[in-house]
Amino acid sequence: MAQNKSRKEHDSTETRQSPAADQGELKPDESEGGLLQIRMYRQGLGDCFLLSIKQKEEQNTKPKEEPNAFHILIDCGVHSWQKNGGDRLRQVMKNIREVTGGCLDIVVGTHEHVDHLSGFVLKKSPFLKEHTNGGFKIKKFYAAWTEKVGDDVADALRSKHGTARHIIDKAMEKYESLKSTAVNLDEHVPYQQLKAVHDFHLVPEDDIPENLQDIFKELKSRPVNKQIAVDIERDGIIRQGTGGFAGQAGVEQERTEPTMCEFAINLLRLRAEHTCYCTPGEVIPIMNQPQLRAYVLGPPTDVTLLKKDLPTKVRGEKDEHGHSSYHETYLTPSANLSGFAYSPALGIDGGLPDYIRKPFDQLGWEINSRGNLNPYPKKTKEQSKDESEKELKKKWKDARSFLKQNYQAQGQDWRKIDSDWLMSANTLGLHLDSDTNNTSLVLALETGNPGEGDVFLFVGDAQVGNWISWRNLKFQVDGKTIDTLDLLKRTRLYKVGHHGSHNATVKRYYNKDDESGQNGTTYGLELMEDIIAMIPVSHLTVANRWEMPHKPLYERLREKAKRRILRSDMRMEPLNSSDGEDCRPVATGFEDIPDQSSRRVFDNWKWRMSTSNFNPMQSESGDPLYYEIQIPLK
Amino acid sequence: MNSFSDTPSIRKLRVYSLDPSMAIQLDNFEISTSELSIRWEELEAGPVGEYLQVIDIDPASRRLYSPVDLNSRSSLANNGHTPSLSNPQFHQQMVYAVAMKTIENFERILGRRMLWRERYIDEEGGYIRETEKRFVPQLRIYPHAIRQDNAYYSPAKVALLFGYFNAQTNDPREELPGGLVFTCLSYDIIAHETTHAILDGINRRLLDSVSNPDMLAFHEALSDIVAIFQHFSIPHLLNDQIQKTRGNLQKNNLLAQLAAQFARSTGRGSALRNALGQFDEFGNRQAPNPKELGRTTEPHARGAILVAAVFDAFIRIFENRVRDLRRLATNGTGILPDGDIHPDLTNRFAEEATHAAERVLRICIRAIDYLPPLDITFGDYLRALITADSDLYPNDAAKYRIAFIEAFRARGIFPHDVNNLGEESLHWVRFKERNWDPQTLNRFLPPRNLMRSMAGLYQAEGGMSELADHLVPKEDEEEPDVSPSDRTKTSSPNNSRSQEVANEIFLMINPYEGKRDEKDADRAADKLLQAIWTGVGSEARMSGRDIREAIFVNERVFKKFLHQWLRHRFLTLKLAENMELNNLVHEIAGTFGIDIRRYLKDRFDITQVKIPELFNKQNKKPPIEVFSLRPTTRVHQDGRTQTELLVILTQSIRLPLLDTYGVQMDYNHYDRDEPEKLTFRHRGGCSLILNPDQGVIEYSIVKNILSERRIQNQMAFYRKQIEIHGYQAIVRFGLSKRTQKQQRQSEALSFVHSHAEQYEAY
Repeated sequence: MAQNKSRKEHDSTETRQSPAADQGELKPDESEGGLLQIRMYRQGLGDCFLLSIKQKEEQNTKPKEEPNAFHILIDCGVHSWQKNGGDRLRQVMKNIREVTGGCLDIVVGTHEHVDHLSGFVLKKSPFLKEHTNGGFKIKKFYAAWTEKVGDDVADALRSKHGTARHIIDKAMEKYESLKSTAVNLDEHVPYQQLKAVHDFHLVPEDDIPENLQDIFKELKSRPVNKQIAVDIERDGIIRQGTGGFAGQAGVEQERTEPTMCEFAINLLRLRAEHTCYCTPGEVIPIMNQPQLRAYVLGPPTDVTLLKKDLPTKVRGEKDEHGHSSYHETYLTPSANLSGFAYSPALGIDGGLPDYIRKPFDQLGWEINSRGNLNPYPKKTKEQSKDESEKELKKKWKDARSFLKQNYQAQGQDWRKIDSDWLMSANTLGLHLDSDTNNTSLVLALETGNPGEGDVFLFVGDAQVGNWISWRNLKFQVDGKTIDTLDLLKRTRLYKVGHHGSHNATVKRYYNKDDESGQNGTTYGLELMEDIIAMIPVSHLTVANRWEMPHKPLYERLREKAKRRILRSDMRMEPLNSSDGEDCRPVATGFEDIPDQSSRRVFDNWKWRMSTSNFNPMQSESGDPLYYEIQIPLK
Repeated sequence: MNSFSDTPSIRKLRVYSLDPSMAIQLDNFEISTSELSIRWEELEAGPVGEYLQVIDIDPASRRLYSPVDLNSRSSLANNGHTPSLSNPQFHQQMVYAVAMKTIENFERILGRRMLWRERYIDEEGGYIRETEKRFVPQLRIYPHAIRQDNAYYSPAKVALLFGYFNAQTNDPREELPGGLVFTCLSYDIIAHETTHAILDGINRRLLDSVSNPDMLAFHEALSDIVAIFQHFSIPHLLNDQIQKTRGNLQKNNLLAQLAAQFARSTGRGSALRNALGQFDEFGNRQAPNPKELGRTTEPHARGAILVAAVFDAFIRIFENRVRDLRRLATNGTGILPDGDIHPDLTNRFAEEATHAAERVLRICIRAIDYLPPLDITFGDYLRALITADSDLYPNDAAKYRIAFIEAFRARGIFPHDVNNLGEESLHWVRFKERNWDPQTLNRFLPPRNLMRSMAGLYQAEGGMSELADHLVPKEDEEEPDVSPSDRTKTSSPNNSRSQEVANEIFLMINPYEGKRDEKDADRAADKLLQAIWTGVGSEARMSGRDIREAIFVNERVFKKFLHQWLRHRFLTLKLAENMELNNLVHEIAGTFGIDIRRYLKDRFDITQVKIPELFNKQNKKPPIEVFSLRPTTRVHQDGRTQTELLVILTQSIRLPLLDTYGVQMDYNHYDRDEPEKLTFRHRGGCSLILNPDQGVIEYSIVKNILSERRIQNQMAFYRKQIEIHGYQAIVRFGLSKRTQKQQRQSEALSFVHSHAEQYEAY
């Protein structure tokens, strides 16, 4: 005991000495059942949450030599557009290292976007170091089932995403090669949209740290099967036996560059003692924490739910008449094959079926990269005497002179369409983004007794399809049945999906075949009452590109949360100025959370902002490192 | 003159009646293809003709498909290539044929040649001054431009870009999953996009200067209307559908559906848009809801309401026409027996439908000339429809106009500036009813002989286009949205003889330069006229292409001349004894929509004039602009033809965009520290319909630049757009310095809703 205690003191002293030290170190004695503290870090456009639980001494089930605190890290990333994003995130990680002593019990990686994972692979990131050397020790790594290697569906999805990324990268290159033309890329909306998708895979500082090279090598050797990608897009199914990376005979394999996020996932896999792939419907007991459990809501396991806007069957679910039940998913309304259609022009059409490679079989003359017809193939003397051959050659000549006189006519360059087809590449990009967002691991953490306590909902960037997929989920815990709607109703803390974008928080559910009818039933946020909303967003960073947070959603969140909204930026737009400012912690010491409702759900909850600031020159209200909410565990 | 017997008058070409999907439906196979008779013209391979230039390059697949030669023996003997999905030469033939048919319809109804959008900005965004460089003879058509489920008209390229894509369905009953769908094989899509291009050629400001939610919707609606009513000119399709609906066109039918294959293959249901409106689950047509208009802002959806109104008017007219036939065929009961109707009856029904459809299309297209030049609303269009039709057919025996009013009213479409919806109230006010003092008016109108010259068609002499380039001093033209650095790039033509002539004329009619009086100005006008007349006798190059170029050049010369004329008149304007300056300025603004303070400021104290407060923040007083001047010839009900002169006067001023509290809005760019102030271009002006024979104004259809209400509405519109679309709206409407240039390069029109939100989240 004494040993343990001294260690604890040591820890806290260490923390106090550091610039990022904070008051309010966990004091379990203050509460009967222990404390849960949730830190929302404010690095900008990106997610990073640290949940720390401290039990009363007698309830501590951890081995004696370990600190009496339990830490869960949910995501750690920042978007490459965020100004000083890398520096800010490093400050955040330094703080995490100090608070946890480098010991993370659980790390959750919600999905493969850098604004959720970049911290793990950022230059000088402590995650790249050994625990003894200022790095981290990770006990468990939780990822969505879609990250599992060897799972047919997961592998196929990876293949599809890999192919799409490959096309996007090539399209970017193509765009950049067009710089000489009249297109001003800085102001070209489709290009900027494509770039936005591309940048989703860039770490704030874009070079690979030395010790990642090994992981890199392993990843690089993974081929991507384009045929699978096409099948998914076309039929919405994954053919038996085609999943995985084992290539089929005769199908050309493409190797694509691995993304930073794939690095991050692999790194966590290597570092963690255990990796858990979570599937919806599971209830995960948080080790040693009887008062805390995680319900896995998403991502959906049926691939058809991850795409398309047609009614899709929910796996294994039947109504009382034995009919399959259908959900209307609203995903990627025109998810389509068109992405692959750019492959020929990008010179990467190997491995694709003919109907994608060219619209007409042998008709037409190939055009080279300079925009001229390819030279006519050389023929032998015998051949060139042939009548049909002569005719063909004449046609080639006619086509060439037609091209010269019309398309390439002098002074007519302004009417050329050499890059117009590229404009539609951005739709592919948008689909890829939504698809990836939809693979978000969605966790509902519950405290107290099953079915009774408060719920903290972490949805990652789940979009509509993901939300819809959990609506009818039922969980079994301790002989009780708990359903999603119940979890939503008990939600106290909502991590707003996808930085508050318009399609990552759902309010209604439609299904023409069931009770919801044409007008739908209320769902999602509409079921929540008395919440605190946390939005990791930087309005300024995305100002010209996306509306984040989406104003109507923001206004509704303010109503639902009685203005208790925590944001990771300082610019408070969009805000309806007549309604007053958001409620957020303004002191560095713990204060009661404003709560006018009669239910008093936030009794004994407290919040504060960090003492330390991203910018030490600023006053303390300027740019705090994090907001923290403290919840007594019963 | 043996050309009479040599030149054929039409060229027959085969096309798909609607789209290729019908050719694999047993029910519709018979009617899946048809033959179009196109006005004969000399064609080069492509086809490349007077109006169109089809170039089949496919950059996304890196191919060029050989251009079709419609003059080849086999082509002439077989009426072109056989309809086929896999033959790109047929694709070229089909886009050509359908686009030409659409152009012919417009020319027939409007009584003049169609010109495409002039090119006034070059690649670098510089302003083009040379007339010859501005003329765009042909619309370009790229049948396989993009690999995407879309097709669009690109104003920046004056081109139609058609896409092709893999069907996005996994239900083989709809389309072959993953199979190729070509938008250039859909009759509707071709007609729709061509209409966009034609309308843009008539008035490019409808796209360039969008100031209310109706404008883009109107563009879409008219394009749909033309596409749908062209269905009625395909006889066997019409007969077949009459047969299948047993003469009841209110039943869901192919005639009212737009782009069926496209819709099915993109998971959008059985038709992209249906002119009959919505159907309930039992297949009954739903009654229109007048409140829907207020809720609908997306251009295609909003346009669909206007289309439904027009189609509804058509149904009413058709029903009216066939009521007697029905009674005859049913011994007076009007209730047809079960089973197929008699083929003779089908034919008679079809005949009536063709008549009604032709008349409706005629009304809809004719109304374009009766629209105000800018800020148009659906209500304006209704007034234009009524006016256009009653001018041509004063005697509305079949109650067509009543049908229109009724159908529009049912959808909540009506103008807000009339007291009631009677035909008389909707009719635009005739100019002679405006109580203008003829003395004052005559000061503005050019002499009758000059108007007559303008209305006629004269061949331009070689130097004419250069003359046009010099006629107006640069400082008195509307300033294009070009930044100062761009302005230096604008090319200035060499000094030449034509410039000397222009300078001379300019000197003579500018009272301050030469201190000449009115007579001198008239003399100068005479001199210009003479210059024009000499052009008539010059060597006429009579190929069709040159005629359209000559029209273009002439119009530009006349435009500039009229500009000079009006400017001179305003500069020498005297105040009548009992007239106050304020009244004069407002009377002219109320009649012609323009603010003439610029021309009075040196001689009068213009601070007496009461103007909207926002104007005071602008020191510059805007010059006038003669935006267009086109003669048009119409055939009246009684067979007489009449030539009219359509003149558009406009004016514009950049005003600060204010929020609801009256503070100028700004926008933060992520990469800039300073927020950018937002402004918008406010326009006013009028469409004048002149009668050159009598030298009078028939109509002046006005949007007053000094109207406070218009400024407020426009600002509310932009604010709403910014709220919905954010930065995209600022780009689209050119609301900041940085985005003005971008606006011109953006592709405004797509066939489908871009980024349609199909789910309801927040």
